[in-house]
Amino acid sequence: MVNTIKTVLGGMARVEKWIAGLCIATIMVLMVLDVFGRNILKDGIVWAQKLSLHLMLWAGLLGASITSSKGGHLRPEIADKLWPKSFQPALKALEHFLISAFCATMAFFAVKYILHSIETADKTPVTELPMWLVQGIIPYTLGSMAIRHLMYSFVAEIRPKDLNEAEEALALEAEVAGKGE
Amino acid sequence: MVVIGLLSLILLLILFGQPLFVIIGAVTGYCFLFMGNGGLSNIIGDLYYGADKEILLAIPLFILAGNLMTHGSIARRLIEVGRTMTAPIPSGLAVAGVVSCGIFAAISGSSPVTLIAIGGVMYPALRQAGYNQNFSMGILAAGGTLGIIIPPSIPMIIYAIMVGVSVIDLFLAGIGPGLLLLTALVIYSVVRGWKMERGKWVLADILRAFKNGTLALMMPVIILGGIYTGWFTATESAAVAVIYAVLVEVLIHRELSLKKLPAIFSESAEMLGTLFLILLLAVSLNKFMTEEQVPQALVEKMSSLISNKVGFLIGVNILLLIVGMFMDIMSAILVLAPLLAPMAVHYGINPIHFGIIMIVNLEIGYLTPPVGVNLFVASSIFKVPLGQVVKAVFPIVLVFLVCLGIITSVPEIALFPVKNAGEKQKTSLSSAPATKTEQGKQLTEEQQVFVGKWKSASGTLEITDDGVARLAPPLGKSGGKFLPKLTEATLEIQDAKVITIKSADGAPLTFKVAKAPKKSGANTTMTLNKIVFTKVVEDEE
Repeated sequence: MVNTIKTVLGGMARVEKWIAGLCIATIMVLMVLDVFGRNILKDGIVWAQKLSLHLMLWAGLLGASITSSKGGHLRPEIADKLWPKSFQPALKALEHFLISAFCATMAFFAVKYILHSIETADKTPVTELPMWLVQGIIPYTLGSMAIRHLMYSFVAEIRPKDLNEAEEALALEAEVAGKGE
Repeated sequence: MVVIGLLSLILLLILFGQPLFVIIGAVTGYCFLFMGNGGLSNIIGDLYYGADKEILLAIPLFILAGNLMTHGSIARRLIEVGRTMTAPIPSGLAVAGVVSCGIFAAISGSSPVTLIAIGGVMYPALRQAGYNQNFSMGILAAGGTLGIIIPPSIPMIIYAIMVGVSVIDLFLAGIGPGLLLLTALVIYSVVRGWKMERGKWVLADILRAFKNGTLALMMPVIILGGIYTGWFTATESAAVAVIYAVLVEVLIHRELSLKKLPAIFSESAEMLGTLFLILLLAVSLNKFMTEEQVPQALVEKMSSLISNKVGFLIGVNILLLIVGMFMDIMSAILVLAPLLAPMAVHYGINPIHFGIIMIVNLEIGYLTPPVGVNLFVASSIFKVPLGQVVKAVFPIVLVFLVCLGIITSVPEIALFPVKNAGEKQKTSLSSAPATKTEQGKQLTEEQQVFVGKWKSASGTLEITDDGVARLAPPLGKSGGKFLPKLTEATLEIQDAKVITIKSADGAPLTFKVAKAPKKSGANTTMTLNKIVFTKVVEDEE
């Protein structure tokens, strides 16, 4: 069971990472072409910035979901040492449960919001895309995070270790060193 | 009672180890439910509209450029340039380390990454050359922090978004203080290492080092030069940084294979994700606070407590130094900048200058326990106890505090390039002209319906087709809501539902247009913040 949950969450994270990376790559190409067009050819791509903004919303929110899977969200650690060590396992479970509850609540309202967008058939300015298509990433990400943290709440074995900024930088160093070898 | 509930909620969430996005999201939700008149769906709308700002694109692009550049051997190349250039001066190797940190930090934009990249190479070299262990650790840990004050800097972009000032002005204002801190570190290194053995300038070595390192050195020069001369907007400069990084690392240095690019794109998305959700939720909270006049209320409260500018500056510096000890820089800017900047403006402090003061304060936080990021990184990579690193950086923290005092009391250090760029600070809280330049296009057909003269019981509003809004007379209390005293403001229209008016003397205000104007009809109305505006037809004029 634990392995199945781990595989499913791992698979979700991999797909999210791949799509988020693709969004960043597309933003790069669009922005570079737009800047090149506007400054050199004196004619940019009118929809490039707007489409890049939609893609940034996708990349940023998927990035937030990936960050959840790695335990990398910024967190005030000031109160961590106030609790006795024996409380830590229960506290961690509660911590993830509260995050899950928050994300699930937000996801619920996001779904309502999207349904309204579908109903009104709103379109995005300039790019003329259906609004729900762009906004759809909001309920997905919040839902994905709600499921992920709910699992972390109940299954301690799959919980990621909390990473602070220093640990993240050191992990990056190890990753870069690993690639260089 | 509601305020006590809010404070209890924050304390409970911190106590239960909640991440910042949950804390800010829950606070925003609480405010909407108990202090405002909107439902939680408004937050979702804000997440979407909050992400619809062109300037935000600079963040993923600068993250990507930094990632591309730091995956190669830039650090080694920069160190070689520094080492050959500073050989004959006292403590030359240490100075080379400090200068390399400054340049690398500007490229990478990350303090801990700079410390790892430069410190990893320079620390063994300094120790081998006989430099004191604490001194070596101290200058490298401190040198790494320069990245957030030397532009381009992501904390500066975040401050600009939250306060509504021009990113370009902020980048330009970072040059002077960045150079001051760098110079102070160089002087400290020279004084402390005066007796160290000196080398000689060897022309062949210098030429070789420059041949290998010029392209890395040129990146900040191109970006800042482009911004300073007005060639690039902030977003364009970020796109140029990406092109440059790809050209240099993939095609010229050939140290980054195309196969590695997908991993770097994903890594950049992940780094963006750490920040993005918090940023959008903070924008929503900021919007709520602005609409409810919270900063103005705080300004009034503060005015009764502190009567002068000096008192405010001393108080705010102490507050930010304490905050920097416990919070990371992004969180601190997202939470505090929208509250403190209007107070600073009230005391006659330029918001750009205040942004720099805030960033320097929080930069010092990278070196102060209990959560100084660079302290932990230094302890890990130099393999020394944390207490020893704290002791090693202590004299440099004092040097930085002196610099902070100078930067705070002499605004010209930050503002001289901004002034030279055309007295921009006078309209610094109005970033819409920059937005227009960012967009590089006129209002869309859908947005054109806002253009024209509008009248209300409180005054008139004129919106021109180049995105400028003029309000006359200055609006006061109306319909139970306050509008700030606007005389001339700039306007940003995000489709027909949300309108943002950015004043020269207050934070940006985003209004939902309850009744969006139609294209025709003499009685066209729109409702902004409960004030009904009727379009003035030409005959009436």
